[in-house]
Amino acid sequence: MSKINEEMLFRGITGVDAALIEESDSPMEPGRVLRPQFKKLIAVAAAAVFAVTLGITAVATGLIDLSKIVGVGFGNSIAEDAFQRPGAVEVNETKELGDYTVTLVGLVSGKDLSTLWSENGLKDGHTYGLLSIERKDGAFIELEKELGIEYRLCWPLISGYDPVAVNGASFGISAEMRQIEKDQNGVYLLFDTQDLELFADHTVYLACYKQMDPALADPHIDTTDYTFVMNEDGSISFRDTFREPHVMFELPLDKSKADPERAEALLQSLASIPGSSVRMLYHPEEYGRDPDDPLHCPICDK
Amino acid sequence: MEDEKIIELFWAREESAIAETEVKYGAYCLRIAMNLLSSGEDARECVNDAFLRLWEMIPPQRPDKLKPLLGKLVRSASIDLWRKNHAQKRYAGMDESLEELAESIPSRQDTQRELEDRELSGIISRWLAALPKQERKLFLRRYWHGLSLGELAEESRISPKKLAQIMYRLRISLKNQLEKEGHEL
Repeated sequence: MSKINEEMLFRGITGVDAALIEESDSPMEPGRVLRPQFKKLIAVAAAAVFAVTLGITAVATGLIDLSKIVGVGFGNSIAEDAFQRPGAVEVNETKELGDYTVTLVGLVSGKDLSTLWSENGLKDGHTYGLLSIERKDGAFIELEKELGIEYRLCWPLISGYDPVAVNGASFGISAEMRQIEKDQNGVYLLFDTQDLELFADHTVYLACYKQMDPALADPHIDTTDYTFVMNEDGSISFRDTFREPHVMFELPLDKSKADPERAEALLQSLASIPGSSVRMLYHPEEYGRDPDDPLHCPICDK
Repeated sequence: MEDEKIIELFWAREESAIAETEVKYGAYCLRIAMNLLSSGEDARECVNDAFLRLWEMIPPQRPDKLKPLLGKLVRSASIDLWRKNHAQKRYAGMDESLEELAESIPSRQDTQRELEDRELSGIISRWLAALPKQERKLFLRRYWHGLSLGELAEESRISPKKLAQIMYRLRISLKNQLEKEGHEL
């Protein structure tokens, strides 16, 4: 390993590409931390512009300028880096979740994510999503107390796959929560899950819901079965009997990125992990599922 | 005057080339040197030195644009002057004579240094190119153009504390990148 000193570094910086120097010639554009109502306005306006210009609903591929939405003071470098990369998908879709609003800001998947901030855990071949959650009354959110553990708040489901088998838990979802500036009341969640793009030929959902009060839940029963149902056509929805506030996003994934072979290989590898619910896909009988009727919920009848 | 015409003047060895360069880029060069050296006298010396180096470079070179090249020349002149002054103040006697002796091992070391500089610049350029635009600009405004944290905070309307955090994170990221490429700070 060759040793470099400050002077060498100074010279190295001096010789960087002229195009980069030119870009930095002009003064900075101020990055402002916007208040929630402006933030919403921007999100709605951006979604509307994309909808009009692309003729689709709230989908655009390109760079997400998070500074427009949350200001450069957002402080989450992982999100800032990940979502300003080419290939990031801006969604900016807001839905109501009881006393809250949930905005799916954007998604980014695929290769080369670990080249930036690898020390912070970005992984190649994963999908990252950014969500913002605000209370409608503007009060400060204590997420876990009010809505439940963050990594269970929103999780992916895939049409055609039993949600009890393939869900956020089996896809290893984890979330990093950031409370933004104190004069605002929203929280941001950066979630990390297996590569959902592989399943882009299916409808891929992000289901967000207030979790059952743990005191009322039976710790021995997977409440996923109470919560979701896969319909005859493979689509997934919340059960009519599920009373907690809930919303379902459909993720705007690029269908051309679907890779059924790699998707199957991923499921098989997950199924081989001891305790993984994905095993249910291949051995439904072990889980009390009727192999001829995988949509039936055995515990719902009890 | 357009860069192309100024470069033609250099090629024609017209002394007005320097005057035209000064008219167009004098303030820009002086600002960079001032940001780095904080001394009007030293800054002016560096700018004159940069103009002289430009005169020596063109011909044979024919750069596309003068501004980035002049910026680099001013920065190089600034570090040379800083090193010279630093040495005069701190390293008298033996150190000074060693430095003078070192100056007499010319071309190989210069060539070696140029190669090292170029390699480092390449690594830093690639690292910068992978950064989000806002952070790339912050880094270069601070470490290339030499703006103070206070000036940069005012310009970007980011609080100085937050800006210091961003800068710290960027420096750590650069350090990691350099280590990944086999260098150690």
